[in-house]
Amino acid sequence: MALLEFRPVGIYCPPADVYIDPTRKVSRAVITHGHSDHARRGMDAYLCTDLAEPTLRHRLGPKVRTQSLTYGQTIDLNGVKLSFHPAGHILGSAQVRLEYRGEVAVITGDYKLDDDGLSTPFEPLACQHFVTETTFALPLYHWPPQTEVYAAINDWWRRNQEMGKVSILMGYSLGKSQRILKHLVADIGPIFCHPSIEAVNEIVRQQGFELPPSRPLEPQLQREDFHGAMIIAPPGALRGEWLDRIEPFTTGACSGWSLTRQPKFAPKADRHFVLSDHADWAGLNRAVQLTGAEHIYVTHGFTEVFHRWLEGRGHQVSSVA
Amino acid sequence: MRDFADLCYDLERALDDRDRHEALLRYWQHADSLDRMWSLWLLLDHRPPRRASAQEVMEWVSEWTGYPDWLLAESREVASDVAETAALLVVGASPTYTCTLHEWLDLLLALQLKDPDRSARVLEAWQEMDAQERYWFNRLLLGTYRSKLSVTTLVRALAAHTGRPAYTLWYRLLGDWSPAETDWQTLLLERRAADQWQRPLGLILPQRWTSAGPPEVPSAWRVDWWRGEHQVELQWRAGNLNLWSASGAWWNPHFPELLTLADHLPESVVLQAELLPFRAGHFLPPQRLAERLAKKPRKKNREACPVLLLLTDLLEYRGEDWRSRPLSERWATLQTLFAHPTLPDGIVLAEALPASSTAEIQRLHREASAASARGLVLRSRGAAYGEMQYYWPLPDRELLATLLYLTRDERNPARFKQLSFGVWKGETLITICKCNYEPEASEYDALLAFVSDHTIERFGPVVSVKAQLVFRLAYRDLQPSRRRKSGLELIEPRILRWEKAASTTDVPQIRELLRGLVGS
Repeated sequence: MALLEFRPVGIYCPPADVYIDPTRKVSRAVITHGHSDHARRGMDAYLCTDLAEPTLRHRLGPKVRTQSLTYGQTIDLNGVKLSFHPAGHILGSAQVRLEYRGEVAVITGDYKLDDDGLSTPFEPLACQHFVTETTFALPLYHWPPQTEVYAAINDWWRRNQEMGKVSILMGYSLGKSQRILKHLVADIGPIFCHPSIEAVNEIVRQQGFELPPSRPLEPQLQREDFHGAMIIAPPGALRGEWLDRIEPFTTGACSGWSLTRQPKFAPKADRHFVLSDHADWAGLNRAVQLTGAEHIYVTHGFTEVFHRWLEGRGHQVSSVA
Repeated sequence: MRDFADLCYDLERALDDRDRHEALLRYWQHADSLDRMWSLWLLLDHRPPRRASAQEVMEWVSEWTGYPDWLLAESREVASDVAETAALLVVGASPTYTCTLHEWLDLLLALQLKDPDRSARVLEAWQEMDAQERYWFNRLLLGTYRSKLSVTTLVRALAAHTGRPAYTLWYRLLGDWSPAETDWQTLLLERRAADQWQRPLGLILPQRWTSAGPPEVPSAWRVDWWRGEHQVELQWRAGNLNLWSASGAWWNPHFPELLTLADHLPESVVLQAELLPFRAGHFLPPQRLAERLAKKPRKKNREACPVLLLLTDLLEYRGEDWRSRPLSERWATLQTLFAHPTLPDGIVLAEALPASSTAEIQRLHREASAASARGLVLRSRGAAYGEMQYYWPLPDRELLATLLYLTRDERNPARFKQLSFGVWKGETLITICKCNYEPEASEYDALLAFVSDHTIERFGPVVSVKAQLVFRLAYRDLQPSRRRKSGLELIEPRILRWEKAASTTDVPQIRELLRGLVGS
C-alpha cells in the first residue's frame, strides 16, 4: 500500500507527508485525540478536530501550532483527502480517513462503539485498509450496559455517605473523569475534582457541554467540606496529607480492566466499576465487519490474539507497532 | 443468587468488620427465608460437593462459545481461574435475576456426575445469570467456594438482624443442622426451653493494678499467676455442657476434648477457668492456642496444641447464683467440689500462691516470667465476683534498636505506617520486629528527610534505609520463633521514642537479648 507506512515514529502517509499520533518530533502531526500516548509534545504543527483542539492546547501549551477540522470536513494534502470522523472514545476523538487515488485507509486511534453521552458516537467507515487498536481484544472483555454501571456508582456513593465515608473514584483526567462526572447524580452530595480534571471540565463546559457542578480540590478545603462528598481523581494523585484530611474514605476504580478480578488499573481500589472508553471484543469485531476492509492492521493491545483470530476468519492481517 | 453474588463480592472487598456487618444486613433484609438459610450454611464455609471438573467446565464453555482452544487458553491466562474464565466468556446470555440462591443450590445438589444432561443443565443455568452471578455459581460448581467470614462477625450481624441474643445464635448456628431439614424460624427464632440453661453469665476480667507496689494487707488477697488471654466460662447445667469465651463466643466446637469432662463435674455448676496450651508437663507459648482457635477444629490442630483447664472461680452452684458471695466462700466450695483425688487429665484446680507478706508478693511478681506467667492476679478474698480483682503485669522491657526498613500504608502510599528494627548479630544487623508508627508531624518530617537521603533500596511498599537511626522500643516479652530469621519474636513491641543521641553502637547483640541481659 502506498498510502501508509508503519514507522517506529508512528503511522506515516508518504504522499501527504504527515504522521498520525507520532511518538517523536515530526513536522506535521495528525492527532486522533488528546491522551498523552497519542498527542505528544514537540511537533512543529498539529492537526486535530475542533472539539479536541481546546484540550490539546491546554495539555501541550498555548504556543503550539494547531489547525482543526470539524468531523467530516476534508482537507487536501498533496492529493490525499484527509478527514476526521467520530471515534466515540472521548470528546473530540477521531478516526482518520485518508483517501488517495481510489484507496481508502482508516486509522481508528482509540475507539468504542457505545454512545457515552458526551463524545460524538462512533461512525463506521467503509475502507480497504483498517488500522484498529486491540486494547481489549479478548473474548473475556464484554462490557455490561453503561446504565447499570452508572446506577451502581451512584448507589455506592449513597451507601458510602450513609456510612460516613467519602467516595474517591479513580479515572484518567481526560475523558473518563468527565464521563463519570456526567452521570453522577449531583443531588447526592458535593462533587470535587482533582485540579487536573477540573481544568478539563472547565474547557468542556466552555465548549457548550453540560456537566454537573463540581469544585476543584483546593488546599483551603477542610475535613467538614468533604462530608458525604464524591471526589474524582487520577489514580495515585491523592496522597499523604490529602488523604489524612479526607479519611474515612473508600476508593473506586473505573476502567475496562476492572472486569477481571485482578485488574491492571488501580488494583488496590476498594471497589471496581467496569467502564471503558475502548471497544470490547464484540465491538472490535463489529467495527472490523462494518468497514468491509480487505486488510486489517492490528496495533496496541492483544495484537497477537486479534491477528490470529481475524486471520482465522479469512481476513488479511498485519500486526503493526 | 444475584444478591448473594453481590454479598460475596462485598465481603471479599470489605475493609473491616463494619463493612461486612452492613453487607450481611443488606443481604438478609431482601433475601427470602430459604435463601437466608442457604446463605448461612455457605457463610459457615459449608459447600456442596464438586459437581464438575475444571476441564469439563472449559469444554462446556467451548461448546457454548464455539471459540477455538487457543483463544480459550489465552483468555484463561488473563482471568484468575476457570470459574472466572467461564463466567466472563459465556456472554450473550440474558440474565433474568429471578433465580434464587436456593434454586441454584437445589440444582447443584441434584446434579449427578453420571447425568448425561449435566452440561445442558449448567449451560441453561448460565444463560440466566450475569457475569458476577456466574462466577460464584461456578465456584460452587467447581467446589472452589470458600467463606472466610468469621463466625463472630456472622453471629453479631445475625443478632442485629433477628433481635435474638448472640449466645443463642452461637450454639444454634454451630450445631448440627442443614438448610434442607430446618427453616429460619426453627433454627433461629423459635424459643426453646434449653435457651435459659445455655445463657452464659458473662465473665468479668480483672482490671490493671495501678499501684507501683504490692497490696498493703497481703492476707486480704488471694494471689495467682496471671498467664493468658483465654478465660472461659464452663457451664454444666441440666445435662448441657457449654464453653463460652470471655467475649461471648461459643467454643464447644473448638474443644470437643473438654466436653467429655462432664462426667467428672458435680451437678449443675458454672465455673470460670483459664485455658492454657499445655503438653507433657509444660506450658506452650500462649499464641499456640490463638493459632489453634484460628484454625478449623480438626483433630490434627487439636493434637498440635492440647489444653489444660485451670479452674479459677465458681459462679453458680445447684442453680443458685454465687457471684455475690465472697471469694473465700466461693473458693472453699470449689475446693470441696473438686477435692476428688482423681480429677481427669486436662483439668486442674488453680493453686493459690503462698503470699503472706508484701515482700513475698513482690518476689513472686519478679519471678512471674520464670513460671511462664505475665504477672500476678490479685483478688480480694472478701469481694463479690468481678469486684476488686486486678492483674499486675510485669513491667514492659525496653530495648534500643536501629531502623532498617519502612513500610508504606497501602491506602495512602505517601505515608510510612510501619517501621522495622534490627539488632546486631555479630557484625550484621538482623530484623527483630516491626512496629506501627504514629509520630508527631515534626518528627515525621525529620524522618522523611532522613529517608530521602539514606534510601538503599525500594521493593514494593518497603524502603530500606542506611542503619543509622536508633529508637527505644518497649515489649512485653520475647519468645523463640521458628518462622523468624532472628529466631525470636518480641511480644507486643512498640516505639517509645526516637533516641536522637544514640548511635548503632548502642544497639545490643541478639545473644544479649536471648540471655535476657538487656531489657529489664
